[in-house]
Amino acid sequence: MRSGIVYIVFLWCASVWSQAATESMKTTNEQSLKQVFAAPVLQAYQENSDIKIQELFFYLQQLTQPGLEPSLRHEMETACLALFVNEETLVVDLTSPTPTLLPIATLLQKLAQSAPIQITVSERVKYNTVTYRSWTCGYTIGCVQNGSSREYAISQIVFFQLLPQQFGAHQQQTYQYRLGAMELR
Amino acid sequence: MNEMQHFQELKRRVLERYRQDYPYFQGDWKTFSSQDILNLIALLERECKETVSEKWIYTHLKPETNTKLPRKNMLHVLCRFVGVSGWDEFIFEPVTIGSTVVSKEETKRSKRGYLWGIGMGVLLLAVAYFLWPEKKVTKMPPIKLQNQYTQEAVDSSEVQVYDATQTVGAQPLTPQQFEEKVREKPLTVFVKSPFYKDTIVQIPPTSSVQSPPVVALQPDDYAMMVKAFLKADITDWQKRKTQLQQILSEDLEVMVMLKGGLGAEFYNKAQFVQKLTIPTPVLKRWEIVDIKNEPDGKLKVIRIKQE
Repeated sequence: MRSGIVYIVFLWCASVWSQAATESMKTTNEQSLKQVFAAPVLQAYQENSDIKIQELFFYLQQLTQPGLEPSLRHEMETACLALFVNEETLVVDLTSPTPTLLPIATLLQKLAQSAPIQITVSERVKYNTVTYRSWTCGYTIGCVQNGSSREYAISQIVFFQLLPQQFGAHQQQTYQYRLGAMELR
Repeated sequence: MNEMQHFQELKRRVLERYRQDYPYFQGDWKTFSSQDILNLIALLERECKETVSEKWIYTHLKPETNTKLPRKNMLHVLCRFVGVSGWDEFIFEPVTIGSTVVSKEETKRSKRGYLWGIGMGVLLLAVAYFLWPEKKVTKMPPIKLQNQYTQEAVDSSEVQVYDATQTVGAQPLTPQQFEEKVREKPLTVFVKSPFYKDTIVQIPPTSSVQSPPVVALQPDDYAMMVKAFLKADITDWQKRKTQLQQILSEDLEVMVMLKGGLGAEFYNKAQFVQKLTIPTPVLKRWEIVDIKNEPDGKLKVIRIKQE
């Protein structure tokens, strides 16, 4: 009986210690993007993330083009989704005249029915919000559709973290970008 | 000379100036490749602190004949690039004596001036002839690189030349070092390029040949295909995807070095195929700098520089 109690107490202590260790590691990592990379290197990675955003809107614009064959549409949608954390990530509804957010997968469906949209993306606004695995950037999207134009001021999380990447038979940890949720500013 | 003829002359001078930095380029505007255009843009940025677009070069410099003169501010940039203060100086032609009314006295004075000038010129030439080191006279490029199959000139910026007698780990020769080394003695060189098979060849001394020896390089077809795909548009995407699946190794590792070499991004085969299948404008800023092949020729490692 006594040994049972000792065993339970031991397990509880181990659990608390493990949780504390995990939290501690996370806390340590929370500063790691700035600690792991020298300032100019981190800046280079942040600037490079602009390319992901440009690519995203390039795909989205292409997806509104009339007469896009289904197989090509599918290919573009796949490329587009590969940029994001997951299909549920919230993005701005480019088809709506009022600024609203919806999951990227839903936007892709709506674009298939949409009239062509001409999209421009402004220069990135830099925010000093670097966490242990992400940062936030801001920009403005300009859309021209059916002769009328509208703008959306966006802030978006960009995740940049070590993830396993498969190269044929071998796997290695590499820093990879994933686009996170957009917010309306 | 009218302004259009002056512009043709300026184009010729721009090419001459370009060859000072890229001596392996021996073509003309017709054979000026997309890589040469990027090199020229970078040179203009460096030398004149001005940005010239690719489109502008395609519109105004690439054509053999021009119907319209470019904007004057662009002409100024090119003039400064070739060492002239601006377009006005470039087209300035001093008024000749034959076209003006001058007095007999003035004619006599100018004749005396001419004779004096000619005399001084001859004297300076004689001094220069004896004092100028003989080795600096040669201007002929030491080698001419060309594609073994198409016979087209190879873009010099895609090729690195090593002294084959140096130990492993040697740095590629700069054009100046190369010219120095082959001036008097033959040199065995190792020619390396991401798009051509490694080649070892002996170059005869410049002083012993009448024309630059031709070095034929055997292209790496798979590397050439990827290079072409980077510049492709959306058309033929299915064919491109199939071809990429065939020419890329399953273990492919693509490293894209960020601007300034401050970081790198990695792509595996699936990601790289997806990237090239639906090309975005960013691919135009990618330049392949190194490629490694599997024994069967498939591409295993691609190193890319992002501008």
